[in-house]
Amino acid sequence: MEIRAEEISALIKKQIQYYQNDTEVEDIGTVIETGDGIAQIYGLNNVLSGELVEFEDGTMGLVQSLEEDRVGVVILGSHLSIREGDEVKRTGRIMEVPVGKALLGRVVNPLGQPLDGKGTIKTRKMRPIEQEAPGVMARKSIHEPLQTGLKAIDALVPIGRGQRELIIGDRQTGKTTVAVDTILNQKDQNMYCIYVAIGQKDSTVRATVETFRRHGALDYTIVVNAGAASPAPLQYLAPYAGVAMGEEFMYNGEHALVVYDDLSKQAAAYRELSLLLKRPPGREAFPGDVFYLHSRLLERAAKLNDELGGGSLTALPFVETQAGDISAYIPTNVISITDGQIFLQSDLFFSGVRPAINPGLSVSRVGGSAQAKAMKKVSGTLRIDLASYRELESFAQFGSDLDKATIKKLNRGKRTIEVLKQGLHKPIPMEKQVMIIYTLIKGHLDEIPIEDITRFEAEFYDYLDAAYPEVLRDIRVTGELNNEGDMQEAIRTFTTQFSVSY
Amino acid sequence: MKNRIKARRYAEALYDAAVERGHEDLIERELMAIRQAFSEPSDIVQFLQDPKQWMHRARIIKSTFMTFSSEVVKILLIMVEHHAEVDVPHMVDHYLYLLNEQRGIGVGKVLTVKALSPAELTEIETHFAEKFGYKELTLANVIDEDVLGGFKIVINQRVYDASVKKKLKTMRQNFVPLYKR
Repeated sequence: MEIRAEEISALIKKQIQYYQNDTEVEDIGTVIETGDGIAQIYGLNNVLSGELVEFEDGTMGLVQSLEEDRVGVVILGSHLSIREGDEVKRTGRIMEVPVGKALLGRVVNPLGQPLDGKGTIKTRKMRPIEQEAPGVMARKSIHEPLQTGLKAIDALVPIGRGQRELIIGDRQTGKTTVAVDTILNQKDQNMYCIYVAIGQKDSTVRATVETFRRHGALDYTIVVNAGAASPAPLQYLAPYAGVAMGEEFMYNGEHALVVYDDLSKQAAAYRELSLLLKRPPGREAFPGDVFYLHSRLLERAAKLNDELGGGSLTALPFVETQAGDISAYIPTNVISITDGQIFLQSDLFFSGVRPAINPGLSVSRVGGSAQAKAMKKVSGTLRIDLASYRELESFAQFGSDLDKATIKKLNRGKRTIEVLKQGLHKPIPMEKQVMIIYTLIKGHLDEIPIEDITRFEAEFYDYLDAAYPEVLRDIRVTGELNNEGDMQEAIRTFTTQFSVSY
Repeated sequence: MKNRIKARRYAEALYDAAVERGHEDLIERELMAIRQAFSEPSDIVQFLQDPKQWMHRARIIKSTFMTFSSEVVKILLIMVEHHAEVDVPHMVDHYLYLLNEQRGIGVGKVLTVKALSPAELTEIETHFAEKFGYKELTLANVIDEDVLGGFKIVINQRVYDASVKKKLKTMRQNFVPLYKR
């Protein structure tokens, strides 16, 4: 191989540019105690809280507690190679994760290192995981909808872009399904999704990633995984890593959705860490700053004003309750931080109402202003209808003599519940949701037997696609109910040819 | 390690008292002797910890350290009363640290593979004083084969590492990405 002289000089020139041999005076400390993912270090006199320190073998640590003659450090990585007496160095840096579009379609750990075996992540952009949330003037009222594709959510508890909506419920009530369906529905919606899995089985995460891939959702999704086997510090950091990746999109004027699945496990990991750092335990043994832990995370969800590009970051935190107890510590905390909650109930789930959303306890405090006008119009009476149905239902169980109006209300309620049911991974576009709810509230479903409602719905969508695409397009484009005549006609023609099963 | 904070409290108090009276240098010389006496294995510590001698402790200290200045004797009496006799060497260390910080002298060690000649040591001391932010340095030469070559200066939890070991380590880190180490 021939080497030309100018190549050599170019090489040397490059080396001159990056050559560094200036050894500096560094602050060091000594490990005096290590175990359970925590190290106590003597020295490190000028270290700052939240700074990264480096152990002798290159493992990084995060400074968590500063005491008079020692600092408490959480070890990011394996603590097995760290021994008493090891030297620890300050780095002068704070923790950062890689961000940007190169991460889309990847599964990474909370440090931004790939877990999916698809090679290194080609991005130079980094963002600190702890950053101040946008201030008052940087924000704007929420006005764009985030379509989840779930009728029960889009109609009853609408979510806007930039909102923080808590999804709360017992184990096995379909919380993750709600998030997965929401992410699947973001296809072609100009939205980037980040799914943060905290303390879950790696097999579950694998299955979720596979669902994303099968439905083509992985192209716009980043999965941050801190599995059940990963150390508590990583589980504690995972949501912050996720939100940092989302912020990159938000500050570039784009829209991001971050799902934290789930924050009760993160709080448990933080509790473990705090107890090992000898911080005093409070209620349910959580440390005193567990509220701040979640509030500073969720406060970073925002809708930015137009000068800042108008980007948004929507947060869907999850909290798992024990036996439906929403008055436990973490659920009450997160409920008070978020802009509303979707409450999933196991008895509804087992009686076949899926998604098992309890419309009485679920609210969205700001989503209403983000809802499309058409949807707002048709879903206006839905919540009251459901509430009065629930009330009558319990009364109707006692006697059989009911007046006509009551029977009508009961019938309508049963059909409403039937319409709000939805299959797994089958998001429905907004215009179709509007059409079916319109059909319901105008009483066209009252004559259809309850068993046939699901079939009616499926066939109705096909019929609309085939015969009345312009009605759908009109709702989709304008977001309003401009042409009720056409809608009525479509419903009438379909109901007349719909055959009821016997 | 556990009682270091306790020892610091005594040292700070003694130092303040010494500065007020203006004879911190005299106390320094006396403390050197005391450290010698209290460093392990130490007969006097053993004696003071003996429950049978409980009543005589104060008298023994007063008589043994008769020629010493009153502050030193008093701090020893207080520390013995508080059962902190084993912390005396730490107290002395911290006193010296406070005094040296005040004077602008950095005390530490320099690690090398082979013993440095006095001339080399003086050169290192003068050269690095400013870098560490002191007026002058007092370095003890420690032989450590682990540094492989070059030298490594450690002063009060701060380090200047110009050893071959460090260079090799940096080189290795540049080759191997963090998550593969």
